[in-house]
Amino acid sequence: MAFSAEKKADFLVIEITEELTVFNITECYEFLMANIKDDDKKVIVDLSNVSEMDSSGFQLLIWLKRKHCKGKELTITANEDSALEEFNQRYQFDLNGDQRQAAG
Amino acid sequence: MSKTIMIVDDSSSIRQVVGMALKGAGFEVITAEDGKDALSKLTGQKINLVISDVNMPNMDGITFVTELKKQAAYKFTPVIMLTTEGSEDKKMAGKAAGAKAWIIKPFKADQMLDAVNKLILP
Amino acid sequence: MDMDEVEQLFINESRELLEEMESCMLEVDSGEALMSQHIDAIFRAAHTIKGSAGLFGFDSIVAFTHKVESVLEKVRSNILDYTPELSELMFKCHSHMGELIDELIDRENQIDKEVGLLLLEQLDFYLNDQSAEAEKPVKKEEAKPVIEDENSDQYWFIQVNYGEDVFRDGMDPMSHLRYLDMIGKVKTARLICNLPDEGFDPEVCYLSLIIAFESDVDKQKIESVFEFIQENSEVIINTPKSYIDRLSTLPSHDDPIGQVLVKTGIITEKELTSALTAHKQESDINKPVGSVLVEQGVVKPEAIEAALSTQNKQAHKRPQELSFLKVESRKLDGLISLIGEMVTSGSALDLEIRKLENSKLDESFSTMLNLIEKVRDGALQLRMVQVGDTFNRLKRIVRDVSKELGKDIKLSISGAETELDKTMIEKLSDPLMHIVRNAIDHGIESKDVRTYKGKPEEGSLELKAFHDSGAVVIEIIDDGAGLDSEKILAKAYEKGIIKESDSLSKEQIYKLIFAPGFSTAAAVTNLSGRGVGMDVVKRNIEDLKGQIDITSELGKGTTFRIRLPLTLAIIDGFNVSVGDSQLIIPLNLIQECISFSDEEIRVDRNFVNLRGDVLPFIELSQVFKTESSPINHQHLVVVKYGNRRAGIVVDELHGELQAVIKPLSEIFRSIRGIGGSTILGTGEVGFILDIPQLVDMACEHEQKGNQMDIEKSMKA
Repeated sequence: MAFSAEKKADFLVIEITEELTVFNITECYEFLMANIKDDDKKVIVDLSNVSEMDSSGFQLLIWLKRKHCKGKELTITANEDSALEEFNQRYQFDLNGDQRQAAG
Repeated sequence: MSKTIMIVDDSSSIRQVVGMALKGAGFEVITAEDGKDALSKLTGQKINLVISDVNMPNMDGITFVTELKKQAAYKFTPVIMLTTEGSEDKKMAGKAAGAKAWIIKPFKADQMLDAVNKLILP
Repeated sequence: MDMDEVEQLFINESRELLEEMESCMLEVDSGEALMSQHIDAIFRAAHTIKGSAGLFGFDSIVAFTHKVESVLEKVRSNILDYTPELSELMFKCHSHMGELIDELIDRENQIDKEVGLLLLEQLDFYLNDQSAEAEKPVKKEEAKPVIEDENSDQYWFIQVNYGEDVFRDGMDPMSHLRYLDMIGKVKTARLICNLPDEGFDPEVCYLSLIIAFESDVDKQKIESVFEFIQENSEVIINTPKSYIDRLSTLPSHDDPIGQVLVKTGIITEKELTSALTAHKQESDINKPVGSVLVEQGVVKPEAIEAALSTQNKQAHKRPQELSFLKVESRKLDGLISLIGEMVTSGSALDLEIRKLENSKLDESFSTMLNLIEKVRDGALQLRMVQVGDTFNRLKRIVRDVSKELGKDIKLSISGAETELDKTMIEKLSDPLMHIVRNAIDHGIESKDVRTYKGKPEEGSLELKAFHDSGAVVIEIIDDGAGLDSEKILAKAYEKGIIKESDSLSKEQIYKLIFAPGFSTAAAVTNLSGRGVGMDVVKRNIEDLKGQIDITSELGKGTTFRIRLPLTLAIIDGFNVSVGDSQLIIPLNLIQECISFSDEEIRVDRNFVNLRGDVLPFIELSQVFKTESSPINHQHLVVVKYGNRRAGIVVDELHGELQAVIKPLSEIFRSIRGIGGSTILGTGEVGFILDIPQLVDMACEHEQKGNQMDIEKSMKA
């Protein structure tokens, strides 16, 4: 399974593996909708094992941050050599940081 | 993880030349002689880009792309069509089938690489 | 120099100035140039005419032109806007000035002074209105830069609003950033994500990118990065200021501003095309293309200014580059006729010298002949004039006629630099004018009809001139209704031009419109119905030794194709003979000569098999009823005219020569197949064959032959 959700203490930890691209984006979106509940206040999304990602995946993360997890504490984590890293750098967009930068 | 490109063309020289250029640039390459051959070689494995000729025996490029886009594994795979100058109606048909990028024949290997790079990088 | 001559000088000078004024006004009118570029020239024309007219005491010209000049002065100092209405008025004033000058030549021909008075009143309106206009500040074009940044001097600014299908099409904005880094350096990238509050679809792309990019590639290259997403996405590219500096180092050339900007990589072809399209729809015809580009946000006003300054630089240069010498055409004609004599006596001398068989003499004389040939070519070149001026005159006609008829017509001209003999150009002007009027009046449909037929509302008229195997071809192509062969047939029958039994090919039917007394349009408008019919057009062209053909497709348009010989004076010919008659075939029409034996001539057929092709032929001995020599061995000269070929059977081939064309005297005019005469080196008279006519005859013969065959076989 490419997606998993596990409750660890206060945190809901969601792990996505292999890929996060337009090919599985709807599947992933539905998984997030189903698994992140109103009472999950602290959410961690772990992308360390995502080897392939595209901009639709990055967009989904923005959506998660701005819309679906609005008012929650959301942390997106990944290794330095994961696919996410290039997106963070090239888009100069800090998913975990201040929303101001991404306003628009 | 290197990216995989499928080349579908009935001309073996085009398959050779384009294949070599793409391999040289760091892509994995799969080739097929026509649409039918290509579909039989696509078994759900990951393909990052398809380059297909329009006029081919057995199954032409437009039918092939239409069939390709029906498969979940290749629904969103970008396609570059190889067309000849002035075949505007073919281009429209290709577009309707789901091929959004074009290269006009004849082209040089570096032109092809340039177009590929606008879509994916190795 | 007596007074009359000086007066003539004034008239010529004024006409030239008026022509220049008109061409400038037309360029502004069509948006090819800015008013600010041409106002000086337009103003100067009026000013100079007024000045010289005063010298001669032509008071009416002075009075009228003075007002025109005053209004132009206000335009020049930006007090008046050159509105479409003012432009229209200026065209009328220009015409009136022309009439005033024409009046000087023919004093009997009194012009309508009322027209002038009316125009003066209108001019006054512009002059008195100045208080209101003056308060209006000089127009400033304000640009709305898409993105403003303190570093915009060096960086390209690219804004991409991705279309919603980008992901589904397998495209990725990330790949564009990667690609840009291959051809330059992405300085900053700002990702904008316009997510909806409701109904988010993860497959839909909501992204936009704003990129500051450093690279020295041209705009075209940057645009091409986004070529595969352009259909559904929006890409805005702002050129760095440093590119504008490139303009200052540009070598001078005659390109319009748009082209200059494309060349320096500041804008792309595509942007120029869309700006030009938008420009045409502008109500304010005086609005420069440059400001449309600025409004569309593709370029900054500084760039336009910089590009304009390079153009101005060129405008100053032009007079030095082209210097002309005015020569009376009488002197030129005298020179050419002398050279003609020289060519003839040269060939006579050649014959004598050959008899001497002195190799040294031969050698030096052949150098001499070579020089004579060059002198001849050079002299003929003096008479050659570009057809561009004639085409430009047609521009005005297209503009006026289309306006009067309420039709939108786009005139495109190509090959304006093609050269033709001056006398031909002069005689060509009327027929061309007539064909163009006809095309607009009867050919191109009204806007409603065009829209109904699914054609673009704007009709298209093309004027083309080009060289084709030793001839000059002029084409007038419209995309109008085309010729209706049924209607033409019916009309021709009704007028008694043809008999019902005549069976005609499409081409022959079209040619019926050239028959005297034929007029296709039911309603004769005051434009085309000037008493000149198409028959006059055809006669004029034939007087020039030219031919006119029509091709047409019903509903699609009509093409008139005029073929003209390059010159009327001297030709390179090939001397042949039939019996004792010496004949000349223009060399450039000859494809090859083959030997031809009597057995191949079959009485019932008039064609031979030439390497698998059917080649109709004609026997000159039969055409001219001369005795053919009894020898069996004859020659077939294969000639080509336009796209038709035919063979001409002759007795003997004599070789190349230069033929000075002498017109035929009246008694020979009616002979078909002969176009002129020349004096040969031997002193004998040679007849120059009219190949187009002969080819026609050969083809007709062959067709008739075929028909007879068919009839015969039907009976059998």
